[in-house]
Amino acid sequence: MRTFWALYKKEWKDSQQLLGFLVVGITALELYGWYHFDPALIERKESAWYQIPFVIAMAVGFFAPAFLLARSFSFEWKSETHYQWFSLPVNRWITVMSKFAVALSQGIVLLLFSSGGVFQASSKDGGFTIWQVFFEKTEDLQLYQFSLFMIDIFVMFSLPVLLGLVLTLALVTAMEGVKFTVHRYRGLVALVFFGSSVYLFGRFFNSAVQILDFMGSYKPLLFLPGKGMGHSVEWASYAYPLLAIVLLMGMGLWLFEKRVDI
Amino acid sequence: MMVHIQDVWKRYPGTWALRGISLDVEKGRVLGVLGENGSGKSTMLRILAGVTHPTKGSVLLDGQEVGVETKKWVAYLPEVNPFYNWMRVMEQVEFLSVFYPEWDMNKAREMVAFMGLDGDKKVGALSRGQKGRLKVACAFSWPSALVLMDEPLAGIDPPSRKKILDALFNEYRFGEQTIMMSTHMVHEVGEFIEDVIFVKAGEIALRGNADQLREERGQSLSEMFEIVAM
Repeated sequence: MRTFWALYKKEWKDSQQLLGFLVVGITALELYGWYHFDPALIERKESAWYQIPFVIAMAVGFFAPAFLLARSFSFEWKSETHYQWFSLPVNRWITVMSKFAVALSQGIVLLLFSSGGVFQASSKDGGFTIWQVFFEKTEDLQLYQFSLFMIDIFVMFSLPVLLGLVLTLALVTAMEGVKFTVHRYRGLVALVFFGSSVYLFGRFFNSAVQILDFMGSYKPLLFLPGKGMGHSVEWASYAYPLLAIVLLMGMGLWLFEKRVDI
Repeated sequence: MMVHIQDVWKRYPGTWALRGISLDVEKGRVLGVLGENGSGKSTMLRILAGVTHPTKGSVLLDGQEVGVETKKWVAYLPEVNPFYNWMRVMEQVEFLSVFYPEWDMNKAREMVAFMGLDGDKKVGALSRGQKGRLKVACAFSWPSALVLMDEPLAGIDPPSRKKILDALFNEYRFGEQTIMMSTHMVHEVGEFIEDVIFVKAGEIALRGNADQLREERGQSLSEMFEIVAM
């Protein structure tokens, strides 16, 4: 655990400048959105285009950790520190997991920054915002409503976002494993692996969800206070990405442990 | 036997870096691994350090297969600078200390000072020679059983080389450490080497006790190096 923590801290320090830049970038993007678009226009909700800065911020929060993770691997090779990494008396899969854990932590930080703006922008007409729940402690909400709301938010929003983030990071881990297993055409091999993995994931999504249909579904009672969602979420649609994560992570860790070479 | 290499082959795309090398190194010996660039000496050390997998063949260090356990008592100095440029010198040393149970921080500070390095300076701000000194300092900061040095003198200015080698092999060496050192600066390390192998095109072209070879062949190691390289 001590070695994992040392690796984790090292990875954080290694990418903290870039992370700081991204946080500032996301915040600036959201401030631009709020400043540029008239609040009255937002409230009328006549079109969705005003949300563009917030959607971009969300996309940055979602995809930046994958970039940071890929950069972390590539930087080891570029700066030749992979010699030190591979000679450490610790299993390589543990060092890979430390990189993964840091990227995931960074992803959560970035998503917290970016999701705040998106919620603000998208929930104006309901007179109810995440901001109010978390920071203003709106008193007219009943405790049971609040807890239901949190569960719904978790299942309907946080869980898929988290799964998507972990899936993206697992894909990057496997891609980097494949990339550094080969000695030639690394960029091309990584690109082909990434593209084909995304294609295969999408290609088998419906079939897998049908097969896993027995897992049932989640029916939200409340998403916003007093409003039902009117649809349910199939657990299978969460289980399939989870299986893909296990497969991709297993592949990435195995490649780094057994096949990646200097 | 500290090192036992049996019929080890290593293939890289388009070439065999090692072609069936077999070698035994006894505990406490200093082995010089001599050969030209591209002869396979770095690959051999990488395999012993566990950073590269052999394509075929077996490698045992003190009877154990190369892995996490052997890495705990093997100090490896690669030919490149393996340090994080954004870390300060002592930060890098402290980072490494977490992984090695027998790391001695007092010794590490002493080594850093002996090498003339400023512990607060960022690694990225060090010259090539200073980075080379840092590698040596890290390798001799703890009582490893086996030290693998790949071109440890590269980048270090000539007047300092002798001083550093002298200190490493006498003052700072822990007990009966086994040392394997690859180099092509034969004339500078010759006096410190006890056993020697000359590697050529992935094979061991000549091996033996350094003194015996000198006596039998009537040549210096530098002369043997040139003959083998031809």
